[in-house]
Amino acid sequence: MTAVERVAARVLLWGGVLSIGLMLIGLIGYGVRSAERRQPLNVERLLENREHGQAADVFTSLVGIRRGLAQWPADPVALTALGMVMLLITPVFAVAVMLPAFARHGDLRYASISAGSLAAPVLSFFFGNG
Amino acid sequence: MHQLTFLFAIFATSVAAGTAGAILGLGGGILLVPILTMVFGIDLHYAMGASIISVIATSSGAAAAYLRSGLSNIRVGLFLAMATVTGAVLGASLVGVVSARALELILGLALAYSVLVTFRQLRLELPEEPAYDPLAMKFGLEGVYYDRVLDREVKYRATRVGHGLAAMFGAGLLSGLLGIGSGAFKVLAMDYFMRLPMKVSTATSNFMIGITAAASAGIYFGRGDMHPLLVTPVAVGVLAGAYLGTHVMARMRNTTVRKLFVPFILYLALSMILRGLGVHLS
Repeated sequence: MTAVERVAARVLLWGGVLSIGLMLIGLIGYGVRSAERRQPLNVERLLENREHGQAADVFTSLVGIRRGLAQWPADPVALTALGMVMLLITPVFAVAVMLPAFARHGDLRYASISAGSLAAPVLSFFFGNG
Repeated sequence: MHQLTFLFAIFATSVAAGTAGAILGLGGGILLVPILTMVFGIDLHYAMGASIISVIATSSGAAAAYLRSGLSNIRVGLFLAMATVTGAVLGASLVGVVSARALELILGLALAYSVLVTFRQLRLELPEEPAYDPLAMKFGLEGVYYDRVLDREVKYRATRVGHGLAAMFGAGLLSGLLGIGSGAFKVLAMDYFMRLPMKVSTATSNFMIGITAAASAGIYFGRGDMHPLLVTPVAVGVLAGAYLGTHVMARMRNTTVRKLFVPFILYLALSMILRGLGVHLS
């Protein structure tokens, strides 16, 4: 395994594990909070027609997630959303670490290709968040 | 159904989908979206959001393992990813424009196509000597890996790279439109068009589906299609299932596994096509 592949494999593995861990902790916290407040988990929202409107417990921006985590106690759904975002950027981050690795080995062609592959996901995330 | 039972059923289904996806080399998303919508009645947009997250989770785990074993070709993956991410961003942008029924029809056709891919995987062990391709030489789209089954090193080089790039753009478009990794299409492009060994195609596809899905995932997230109650059990379940699937497959013959699953995928494909055409089965 080359140095580039080794770095990419580590980022992919640990990025995935950490993200899933955060999502799980957030979901458990959401369940505990719902039980304490004697509120249902409201899974019916999943069955409704999404086109009729967005569910209130869905985060759609990084600003919203930051706000949810900054309050006390922190919003567990925001923690799940943070895990989701971390998972989304894990493959992108893996490509990002390959870029300097290729450049360091003098492979500017593949450093450029890595940069091209990075551009679309990064742009989609920013456009997707308005 | 009780709410926790409902969530556990989704988790268990995701484990099964992840296992089946890993064994069949389809990524899992292509199986998950129809099951979530048809069996659980979950809104198609939420199902697609959860599926695309699960594709990234599966890809992260599988790609890390394949990179360590030397089967995944990073250069081939990055070169083709340029075409897939462009297609994925365009596809995700079209979701709000295309109707749910049209999406179901496309997904059904995509599933039917994956049946053909699976049939092709049954017959081919290693590709013939490829024709010279200047693009493959220029970009170093070649490699070598040790094949445990054949007990020897296998050298390979890509051919018909232009065809492969076009197919990859189409695969990315489907990924963005349907919330799936479209791994089967990527495997087909590398295996059929570019004449790469099947194992390299599957392993490299696993690396690529994560990048492609990430390209469109930001748009799904911004649109509010990723519901935490659904995304978390699906992501954890598919990841666990994929891990289980890689271990189960090591103890099974590929032909047996694929023969078992082809009728299942075919049934789902036909059901989705019929729903897309407005015919609902009772």
